[in-house]
Amino acid sequence: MQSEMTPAKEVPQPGSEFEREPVPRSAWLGFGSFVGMFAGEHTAGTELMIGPLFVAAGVSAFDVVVGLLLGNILAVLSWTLMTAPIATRARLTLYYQLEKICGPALVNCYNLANGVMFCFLAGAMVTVSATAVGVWIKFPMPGLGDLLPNSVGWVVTVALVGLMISVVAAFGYQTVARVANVAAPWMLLVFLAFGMIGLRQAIVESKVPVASLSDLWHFCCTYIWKGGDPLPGQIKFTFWHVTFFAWFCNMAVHIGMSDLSVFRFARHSWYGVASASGMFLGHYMAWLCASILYALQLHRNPHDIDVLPGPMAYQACGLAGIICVIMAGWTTANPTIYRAGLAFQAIVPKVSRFKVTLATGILATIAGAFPLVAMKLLQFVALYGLILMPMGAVIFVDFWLMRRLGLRENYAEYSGRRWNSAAAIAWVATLAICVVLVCLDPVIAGIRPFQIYFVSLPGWFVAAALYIVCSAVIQRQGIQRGNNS
Amino acid sequence: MNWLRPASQLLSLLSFVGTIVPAVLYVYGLLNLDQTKSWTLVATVVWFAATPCWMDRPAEKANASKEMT
Repeated sequence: MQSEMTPAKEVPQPGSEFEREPVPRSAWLGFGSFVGMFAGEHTAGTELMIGPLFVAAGVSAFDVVVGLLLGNILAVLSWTLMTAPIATRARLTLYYQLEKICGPALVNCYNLANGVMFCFLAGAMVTVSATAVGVWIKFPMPGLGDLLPNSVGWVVTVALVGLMISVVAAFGYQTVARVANVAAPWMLLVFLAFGMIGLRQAIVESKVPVASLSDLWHFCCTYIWKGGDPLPGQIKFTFWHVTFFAWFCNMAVHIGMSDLSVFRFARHSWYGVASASGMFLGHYMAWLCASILYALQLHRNPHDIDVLPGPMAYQACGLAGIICVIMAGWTTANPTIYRAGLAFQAIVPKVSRFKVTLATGILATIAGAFPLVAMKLLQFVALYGLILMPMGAVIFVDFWLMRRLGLRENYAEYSGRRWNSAAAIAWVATLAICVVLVCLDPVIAGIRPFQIYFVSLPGWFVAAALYIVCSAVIQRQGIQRGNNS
Repeated sequence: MNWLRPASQLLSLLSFVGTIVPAVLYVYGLLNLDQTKSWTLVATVVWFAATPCWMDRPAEKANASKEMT
């Protein structure tokens, strides 16, 4: 997933330059820069968890193959039609755009939420890397149902891995960024190798003759993605679960508009289609390949339901597989911690970046010791998108609709307010409504349309409507006060 | 040392292909699993040895730094 987060080789990262001004024409970048950035950024350690969790959720072959196809197309369209058009017109960072609309005080709240979510995400990546250590040093590793640390050995391993990642992140991630760029193309091939070797092993061990594509598809339907009931403690994934998960797992960055900071460097808005490289390599090929490894593990021993990327990768590719797991976790956890540190530092600018990043890394390490986030990664990713999505709706409405509705855009900047209550209400009330809907989980015509995986879709419209209504009320009050005074 | 960059690029290309070829050969039954793992590891080592020599280094800059040393 976007997980985001191998720094691009050429695309300047958020916060690197033109923080409070539109990106000038001379700094615009070509299409290839974005293709490379997305391909590297979306092949992360967490892909090794998500693929297996699909199998644990009882997906069928059609649901996962076609559902991922549709979901990833929708994600690419979201970048192309929602994020990039605003980015290439305004050419501002997300934070500056938000500050103009919401005011700096509300942006601080956004930074806090963003930073906390980044911390947990980085924690999941630390968890993935730590499972690789368990291949050599024998200690009880967390199982699929574990939410708390289950052994001292696990905690010590996570602490060491997390501390190492945190210290490197605190010193600045330029070296790691370079390693990440070097590793990215190789990692994609190792992910592909996982799938090919796993599939071959499954075919050989099942003794099913596979002589044609039709045979292969039948094999996948009956041995890899069998459908049926999910494993204990998991939610059943249907076609729509897979589709919406693939679409919304990066909701924070496309519909949530975080990637305004990236696409402000694009020459044209259609460069949004460059995200297809990340979606179809990282979120299609890598997920399917990782899921094959887990299906093979279940085929060998149906009682061995633990999702441990390290041992799975070692079985398929040996030491190269272990290196891939460590690289995938480390190179993505590092910039994630760094970005979380930047988000927190915006709130406490007087504290040094080193201290803030180190503290952030320690927080992520503590989160990583708890298998909760990694083992419930599907739910966490959906929650991550949900929490940041309303601000994306606010930006979308403010940019495209406010003037047409006779309202003032960039109201915080116009009125000099530090806090735009319309945006705050739209954010908080949308989250409250969505949480209530998820908790109530009503069944309508036999389906549960407000599960955490789906609720962000109606939630976006709720946020947009709330922002328009609240803006109309608040801006009218502002005008009346101005007239009275 | 002008040959270093193209040589490392060639090694990178070979190791890049070499990362996936063992898996392909395994699928067709031409390598066993242990051989596949070993060759993938060899390709990995070569990739990480050769690629940093040219990736992220503009040609002119790399040449200039070589000339200075």
